[in-house]
Amino acid sequence: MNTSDLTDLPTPLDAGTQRRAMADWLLDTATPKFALLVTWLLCIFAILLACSPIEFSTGVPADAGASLFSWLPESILRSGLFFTGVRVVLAVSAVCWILRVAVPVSCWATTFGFMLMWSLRMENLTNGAHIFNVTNMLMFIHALWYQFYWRQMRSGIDAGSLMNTACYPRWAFLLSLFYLGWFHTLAGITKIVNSGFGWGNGVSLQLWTELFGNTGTPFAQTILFDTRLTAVMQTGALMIECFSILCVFNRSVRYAVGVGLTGFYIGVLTTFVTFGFHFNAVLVAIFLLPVDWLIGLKFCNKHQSAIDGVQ
Amino acid sequence: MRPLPAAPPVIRRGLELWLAGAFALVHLVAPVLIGERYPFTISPMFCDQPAECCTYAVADANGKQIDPEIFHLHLVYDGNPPGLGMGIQHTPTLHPYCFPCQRQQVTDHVKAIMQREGIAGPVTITRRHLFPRDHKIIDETDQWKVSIDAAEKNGAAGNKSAPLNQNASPNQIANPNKDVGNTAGASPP
Repeated sequence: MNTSDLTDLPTPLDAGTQRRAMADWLLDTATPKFALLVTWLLCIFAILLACSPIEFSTGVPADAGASLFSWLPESILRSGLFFTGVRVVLAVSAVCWILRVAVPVSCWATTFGFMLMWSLRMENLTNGAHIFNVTNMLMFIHALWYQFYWRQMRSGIDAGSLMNTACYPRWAFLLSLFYLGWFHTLAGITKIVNSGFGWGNGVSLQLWTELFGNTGTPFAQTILFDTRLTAVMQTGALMIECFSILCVFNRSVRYAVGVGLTGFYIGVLTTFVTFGFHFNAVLVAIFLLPVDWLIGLKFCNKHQSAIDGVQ
Repeated sequence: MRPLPAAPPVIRRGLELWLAGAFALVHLVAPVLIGERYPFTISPMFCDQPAECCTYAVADANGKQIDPEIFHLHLVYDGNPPGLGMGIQHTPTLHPYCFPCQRQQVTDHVKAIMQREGIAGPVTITRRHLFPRDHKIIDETDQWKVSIDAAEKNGAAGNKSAPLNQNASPNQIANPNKDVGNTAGASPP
């Protein structure tokens, strides 16, 4: 048994044993191939963001800030020089993280540099965007992983066997799944709260496609074909979003959610080409499709030996 | 910031699990307590449910396109609820959610701006109206010429707009004088 599903948890004897078994189970480790792939990808996203120029919209600052950094003085938020400085810090720290230089400092510098970089953009724009929340939060989780497991990784590197060193904990993988699932479930909940269960009536999606979409693509043509068909697709997408959080609990459900969300993103990316959801799509595919299985992500079941020890 | 090699393993293991749990807990409550503030989000993209939409283009007497933002007819809606998760307020527009406005409302609005800004005109407003009919989206284009006469230039309010022509494509129909009833969400600046 080597999956990461919560349903794999052992049945313990009492509350204390249950807590210990749960903790041990969450602390089970796997080789870091999968996590390193994710980390490198996140760092590449960070470098891409650092290379992108900013747009300073003119106008009155919004009453409610766009980010946790909205408390910064206006002179900082609108400063091109400060923005350039953050870009440099972000690019350098991301490269350092990839090269494992100055970790875990470079991990946190990348994570908070990314957060500040995107916050500065949001603070200077008249429209919100949600294309980097997932990237940034997965970066945070993986910085946390480096923070606690860098010592083991260092040992593996020194021994020339990092790829065979069990140093990627199950909690890091599950927490990433949790964030991905919750992010998409929230999207479903917000739609229902805002527009009700009838959100997927087909008309709104057709309007968005006409307004913002590339209407020449086959997927857009399908959407525009008939409102009733579009309503089925839209409601299906809503259901997939709402149930995304279930990906944490079971591997089969995770793959099913992954197929649904990946299909959803393929539709979004081929229709709303300029919206920039590519980063989310890539991360959804990596975590929710059987990439872990292909790479051979297997966590060592230390909890069983712990229970045996108690017994 | 350094790794925690000095801490006893039990404490270190407890700390990493505690931090992981705190991360999950914060994100569970953040939509209610923090809302839409990066890096926290309520994922509001496309959460509304428009029933019909309008966009506007403006041209001068020579047919040269003018930035519709000058006339507060620009589109700020991009699928995100306007005003949420942005740091700069967008320039006020007649139709924040791209909801259709009545022709009278649009022309009065444009006239008021022409008077205020001293724009002689005339200008041509091209309205693209998207609405559902027979399980498809109909793309309708109307054009209205708006001008202000001498009396209006001196401050008298009035309405002098005339339909010019209608451009129809295979999926478009023309309706030069149709007033659109749904004005929900329209908030003139």
